[in-house]
Amino acid sequence: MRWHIIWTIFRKELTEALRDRITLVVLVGLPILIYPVAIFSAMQMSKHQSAVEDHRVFKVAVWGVGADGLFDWMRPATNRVALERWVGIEEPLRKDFETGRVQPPTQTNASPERPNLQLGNRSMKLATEPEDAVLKAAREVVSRRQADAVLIIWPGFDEAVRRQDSGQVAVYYDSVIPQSGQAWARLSGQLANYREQLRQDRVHQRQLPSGFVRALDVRGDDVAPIQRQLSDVFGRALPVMLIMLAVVGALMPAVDMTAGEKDRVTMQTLLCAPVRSLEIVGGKFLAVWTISLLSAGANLVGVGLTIGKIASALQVDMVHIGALVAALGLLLPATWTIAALFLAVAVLARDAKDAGNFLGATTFGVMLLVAVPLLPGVELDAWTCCVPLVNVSLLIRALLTGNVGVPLIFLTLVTSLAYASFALSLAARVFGREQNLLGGPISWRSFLRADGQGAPVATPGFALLVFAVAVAAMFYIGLWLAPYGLMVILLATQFGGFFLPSVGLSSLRKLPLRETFSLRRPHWRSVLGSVLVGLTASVTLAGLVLRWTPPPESFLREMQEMLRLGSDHISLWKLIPLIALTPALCEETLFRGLLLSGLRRWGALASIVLTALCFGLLHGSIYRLLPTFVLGLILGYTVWRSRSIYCSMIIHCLNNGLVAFVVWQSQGQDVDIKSVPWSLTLGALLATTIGLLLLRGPKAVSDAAIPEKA
Amino acid sequence: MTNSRSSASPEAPAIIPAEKAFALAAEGLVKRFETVTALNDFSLHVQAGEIVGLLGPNGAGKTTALRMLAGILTPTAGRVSVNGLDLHADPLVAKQHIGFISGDTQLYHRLTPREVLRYFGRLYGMAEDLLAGRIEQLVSELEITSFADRPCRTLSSGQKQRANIARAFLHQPDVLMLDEPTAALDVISGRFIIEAVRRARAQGGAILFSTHIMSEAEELCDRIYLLHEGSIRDHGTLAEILARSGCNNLTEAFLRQALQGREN
Repeated sequence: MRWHIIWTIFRKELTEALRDRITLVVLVGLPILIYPVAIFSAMQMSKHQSAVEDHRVFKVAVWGVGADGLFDWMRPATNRVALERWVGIEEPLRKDFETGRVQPPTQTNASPERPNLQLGNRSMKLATEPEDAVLKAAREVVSRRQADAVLIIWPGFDEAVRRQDSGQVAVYYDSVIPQSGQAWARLSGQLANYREQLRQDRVHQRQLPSGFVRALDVRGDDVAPIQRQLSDVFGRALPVMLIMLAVVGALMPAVDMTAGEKDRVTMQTLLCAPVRSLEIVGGKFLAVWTISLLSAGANLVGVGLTIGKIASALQVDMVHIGALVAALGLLLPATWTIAALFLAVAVLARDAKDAGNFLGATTFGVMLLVAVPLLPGVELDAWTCCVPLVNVSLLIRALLTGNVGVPLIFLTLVTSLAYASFALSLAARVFGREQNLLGGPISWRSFLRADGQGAPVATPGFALLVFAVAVAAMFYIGLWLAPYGLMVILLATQFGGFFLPSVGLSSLRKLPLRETFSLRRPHWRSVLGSVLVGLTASVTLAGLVLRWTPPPESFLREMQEMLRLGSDHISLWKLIPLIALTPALCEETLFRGLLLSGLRRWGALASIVLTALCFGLLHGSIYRLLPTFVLGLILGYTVWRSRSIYCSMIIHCLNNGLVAFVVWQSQGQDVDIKSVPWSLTLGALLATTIGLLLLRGPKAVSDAAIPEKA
Repeated sequence: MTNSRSSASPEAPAIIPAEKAFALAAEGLVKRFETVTALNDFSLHVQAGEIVGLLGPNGAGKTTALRMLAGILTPTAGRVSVNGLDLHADPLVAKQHIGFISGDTQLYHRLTPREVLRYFGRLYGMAEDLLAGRIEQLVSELEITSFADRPCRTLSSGQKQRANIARAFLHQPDVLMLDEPTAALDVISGRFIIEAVRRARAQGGAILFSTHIMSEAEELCDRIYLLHEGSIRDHGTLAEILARSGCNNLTEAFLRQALQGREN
């Protein structure tokens, strides 16, 4: 992979996209304008609306006799409820009220509100319930808008109030008519106040203490500060918003740069040029990502600033500029995942119309995944951080509410990067196929198969796939075998997760094992050098890396616990095979064997660094990342230079063995690995360097250029 | 492209000594799409300083053949070498020697011809100062100056094809492949391209020119391959082909070949 080619393609795609004025306006210009306009006009509307509401006087028909006290209570103009007797009632029904023949419905034949002034509980009426005449007549009145609601004073109301019993009233309203609903809200409030008034009068008359009717005064207070409540709400809404913004930003460019290029018949020319499909896809991905980021960023800034403005007007300190920057940062994983996914899908399309359809379906899938975090109880953990898009969505929420650990953040970013890389390598595969140019149907099998002619070699895609298998295997083995102890987990992970998949999948793919795993007898100087490096690398690493980035004590204790396999009395003959020999065999087979040879075509530097990074990541802890990464660099260089995996196995075995031995010898006491004296450190560094310089290829082989085929 | 899995290493090109004399050589190319055989046992060679015509009706397999020769398609069987380099083993190096134009090729609508040239120059790994000089040279030689800085979507087809020729000539390839380059052009623009091709031959280029226009082939080509229904029916100089067929012109000779093929 040549970065200048990727850069050239990226620049050209970006130039083209930015020259498309419509894209630019829709993706970047519009959002900046549209949010302030939309939100402010919505606010103005609702302000106006509520002003109108506040001054509206609701007309309430009152059916029933008496209740003059209630009328007096409602009379003040500030109540804005106008009670009018007998509005819209038919004469016979009025007669029934006056003669007291109407009865309140029984419990089974419940009216929308129980007639004893019990407020607030809105019960749904089933259609099968028999309806009484009052309800029917009231519905008529409300739906003909003769009144906003109907207040029924059931016969015997005055009498009951006088007896200091419950006076029965009912309110009929229609929740579908907004005005009727509002009338109910206001009326119920007034009725509650009236009830409170009656109650106080009664308590007063009987000279009871004020706490008599309120035997227990319960008060609940939410201790979460307003910011956290708001960020919880935002934490749920923001991931969905950010990912949808990324979708909007990535959609058009992804179609344009793949299917669009086919439509415009420029693809053929590009495929004539001496560039690899991975480079083309890489450049296009960077361009889609950039545009998606720009667009989503513009949207976010538009929303953020608008909400910030509103919040400051409401004097709520809600949107910090820091939060906005953080959200912009969170756009990175969201947009790179979406850009890679969309590009991989759009590449499959024959033309822009196809691509539009494919991406429409993909967007639907994306929405489903993004909505998962809205479900209650779904949190970011070791499981969910492995689900694409769900993990990014959950991470955004977790970061906003502030309850997430560094390892999970790290793991989420790594997995989302891994998914994006996987999507891109698939896209590159499709791009390299001729169906891409001809627009023929693409069989999924065909591009998972080895292509090209001649002897097969491990490809980067294949090597990374096996690495992904190893990561997944390690994760699940760790989970499932947890009860059986460290020893079982270690053996199962090393052999079942690393060794078998590497050798098995390579054999299945008919890769030449000698080439793939660098099974060559090393030069004697390489063996000597490896022994020297193996004996001194751990001291060098402890003396340099751990001195500069010291891990916490708790972590070191945990490590030592692990190096003793959880037991203080493990014998050395058990410890050395498990801690030294097994990883030397299994990890080297995967990393310096398959992965290094798979990535070889990307050049010495890239393949060694990437292999080391994978090696570091697989050790599953942010504190171990740097030391294992540096060890990975040493091991990778060793195999590249000596062309023999046995050399790195020697180093790995000696290195692990030495560390395990030191920990074993300490017999349960903490080993202070952070304070290696400088003299020892420098001595070890010198020896490691000499060891590395001693490395030689099996025969006289020039430095970097190792032929593909021996 | 990644059609071939082995990476390019400029230091160690795969040399095919037997074909070293030819700028472009194809040997036993076969291309099958699912059940259809588009091209069968296709062999061809082009020397430096020679224009070779690939002549055939629509659907004969000319485009498939040229795409395989340019490394865009992978042959089902057979091999292609460009200046002795195996195209499919070493695509990145071999493609440096190839310039390819087809009649339906378009340019990036929103870029100007100058930008298109700069883009492809970089993809071909040309050094920036060399590239700038080469672009200026081509812009003036191919009379592009007047529209060199206008977006390509505003250009006429003749102008586009001129810019396309500049793109194909840009990295000074030894082998030029032209797939019906005059198909969509008027007489004047077509003539311009023919002249450009002649100039390239004079400079020692090896040119493979596919067309279904017999007169064009008669006028331009040093040698001709007659392609029909995916296989080569005859090849040689114009005089040889006419002599073998006993016809007066290429059209008749071609028709006779085509009919013979059907009878067989």
